Amino acid sequence: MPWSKAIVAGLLLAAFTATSAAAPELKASLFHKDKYIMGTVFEIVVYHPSSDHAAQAMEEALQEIVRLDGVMSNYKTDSELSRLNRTAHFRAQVVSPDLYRVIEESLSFSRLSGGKFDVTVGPLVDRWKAALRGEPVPPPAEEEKLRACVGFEKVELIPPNQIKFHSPCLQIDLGAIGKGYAVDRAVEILRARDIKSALIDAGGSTFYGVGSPPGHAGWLVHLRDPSNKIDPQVMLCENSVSTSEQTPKSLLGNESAGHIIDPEKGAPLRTKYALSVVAKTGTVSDALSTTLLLVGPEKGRGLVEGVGDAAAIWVSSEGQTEIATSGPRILTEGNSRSDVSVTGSAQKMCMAEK
Amino acid sequence: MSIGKKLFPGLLLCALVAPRVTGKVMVRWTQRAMPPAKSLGVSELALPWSAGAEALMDAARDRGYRVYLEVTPQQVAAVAEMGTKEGFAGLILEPGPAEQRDAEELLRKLRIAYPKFTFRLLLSEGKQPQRRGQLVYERDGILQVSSPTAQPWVDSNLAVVRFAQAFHPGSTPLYTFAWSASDPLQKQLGPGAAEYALAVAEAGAFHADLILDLPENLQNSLAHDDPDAWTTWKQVQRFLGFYVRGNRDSLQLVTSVSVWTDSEKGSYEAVNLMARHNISFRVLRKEDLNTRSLKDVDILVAFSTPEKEQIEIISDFVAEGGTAVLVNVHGSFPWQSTNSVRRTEQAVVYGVGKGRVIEFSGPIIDPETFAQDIRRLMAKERIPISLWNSLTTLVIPYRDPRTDHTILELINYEEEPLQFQVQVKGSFASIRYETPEHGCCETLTPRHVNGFTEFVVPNLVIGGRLYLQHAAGQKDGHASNNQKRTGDHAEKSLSQ
Repeated sequence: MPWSKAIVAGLLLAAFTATSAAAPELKASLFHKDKYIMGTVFEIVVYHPSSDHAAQAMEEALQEIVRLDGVMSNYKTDSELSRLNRTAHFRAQVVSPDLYRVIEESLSFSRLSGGKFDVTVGPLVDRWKAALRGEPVPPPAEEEKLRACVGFEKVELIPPNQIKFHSPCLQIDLGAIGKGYAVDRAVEILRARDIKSALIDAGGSTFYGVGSPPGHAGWLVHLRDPSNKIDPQVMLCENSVSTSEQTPKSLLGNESAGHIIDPEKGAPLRTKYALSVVAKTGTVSDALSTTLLLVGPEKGRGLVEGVGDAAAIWVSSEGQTEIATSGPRILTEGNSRSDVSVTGSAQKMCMAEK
Repeated sequence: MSIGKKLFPGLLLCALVAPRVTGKVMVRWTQRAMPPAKSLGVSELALPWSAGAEALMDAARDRGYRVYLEVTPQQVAAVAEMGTKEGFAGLILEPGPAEQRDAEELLRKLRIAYPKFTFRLLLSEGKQPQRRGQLVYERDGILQVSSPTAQPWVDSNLAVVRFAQAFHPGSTPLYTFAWSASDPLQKQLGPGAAEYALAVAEAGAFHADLILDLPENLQNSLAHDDPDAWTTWKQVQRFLGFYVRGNRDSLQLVTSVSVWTDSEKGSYEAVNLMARHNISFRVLRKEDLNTRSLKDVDILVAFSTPEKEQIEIISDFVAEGGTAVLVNVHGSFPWQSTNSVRRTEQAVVYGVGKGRVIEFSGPIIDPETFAQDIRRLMAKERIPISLWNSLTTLVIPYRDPRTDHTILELINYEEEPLQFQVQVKGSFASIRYETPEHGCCETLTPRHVNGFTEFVVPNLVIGGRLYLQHAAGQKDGHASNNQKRTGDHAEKSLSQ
């Protein structure tokens, strides 16, 4: 995207040289593959000595995400989730292990956040997305009706593989967790193919670092900074970072729309922050990013500590920042990045720690 | 990516009753060895003018090609003089960025001095058509930036073509681009059949001409009958055949937005993002704004400062229900005296008659949101065309004024099979779909909803074409906006 890259390029630079250390794995070359899936572009970069092996591993990982799109999509009418949304009101439905697991994890985040994270918010999301496209804002009566369809407690999990909805109009939308879940499954594929150095990017909103690039302690990711003043960064090594931010306001002042819905209010979230969160898995970082944006920094600190091995940074358009951590470091200006360039031993340490 | 498995060898394109809409493709050749024109399936070569160009020109003519020479403004007169005895078909002028403004005048003079030659202007701003990811490859590594989930970015040449159609009227835009390889694997492999095919499809869909750059190794491999090279090229030939020149001049671009501007400077990115969001628009030069040029237009996006006569034209346009969006245009205008005013952080919205004027006081710093706003400003019931579940596809709507049929050109920058939904303004009884891979024509089933026709495109890989026809004797509102505007814009905008 030329214009946005022009904005960030001056601020951000990541130089990963594969020549600064002498370990055998540094002979690895960089390979890249991407694919349009889930309405965005998934990208994988891999360091590996064999182009054929790297290409095969990346292709299998991307195909796994394609498969999961067929499970979790609510745009595809023939996806497993769409079928569940059409039928689970009537009787408990048997679902695949993937769908059961991602909904189970979603509900755990709903409980953890006291309902702020809620995958049943789909009907409201759809309606407000229509408002984003220029359709009228839903009147209070319609909004009230839609809110009655929402509620994670209306989803019943029946182990080991059945799900039932206790509302005739409930719809699940996995948009706030599905990409993170897909990233984790792709990571599993890469690991199974003996890939030790890789980065997976789900449309810019979730990254996972497998191992580290040759000669470095981790994968340096610059985090969203609406102020262009802070340049927060994180080094990923066997962990993930996700970013959430409300849809930008219309230049014409239509502030009433947005794709992140507050389930309590039934309306788009109003926030001045962009939020990035580091966690052990893509599923957790993806779900937490929406949750922490919804609850804000004050309540969010407790959640970050509760989850463990996580960190979050809220950055406002004015440059105000709030950081919470229960382990990982988020680097900001003045918080030096001495560990960016290291020898092969540090890279091995990253692997050994896990 | 290889598309060999997705293409159906041996399929012949059937003759179409409806007109072909096409772009002309020349191949840029730099190597002495070359296959015959008949084999390559391309009749015209573009040869960069250099010390060895005369020998190359002879070889090309011997192989049955019409030869065009690519020259700079400094070279053009001398080469044209030489050409009176050398017999090449024409000259392609490649002005540098600073020479663009004078190029049109230079071409005019050359056409008078050398009436036997064809002179073409080459647009130098072309870029490789592609769907891009987020990661940026630096010299020594990767740049990665987190963000909210991003839509796939599409690099298209549509804005370049639209500007050229406005600023160089009377000639078909001709552009070229250099292949961009972002990572080591791409650099090693070079472009594949799908990349060449996408370039051909894009130019054809835009009704523009293209000089296709072939890497030296492919040129040599084709010249020496390498089977792999010919397997690749035969896939491209299917696209060359699909987009061959026809009577595209008879087709009219369907637009609902006009962009009025003095130059690309200051407006390019906004226009580029409008193209990205499938907003069908045309560009008007300063002198082209008149009542006729605003006929059938819903939204005028003005980057030029209007003078007295143009202020009247804009006032009349909005009074009848149009929306005028003025960007970084300053002055005293009659609509500023209205009582119906709403102010936002970046804009002032005036309700005028049945329409509205929106003034942005500064330049557009967020063209993505601006383009989405333009899309939102379009009255829902008058949006000519919408796509669903296809963020990597551009659609270009044309209308055949002789038949009132609508023709939609589709380009999928993902280069992977895609199924998606289309909604077109108007009621169409018959929809036929053809592609370079499958030929002509698959009949699609329309569904008629509230004045729109909806249908599913079953499988778009790179390029495709839809023919939408009314039932016999029926001519209602079609994809063009030739209906009377409903005139509720002022009320809508001020109630936001």
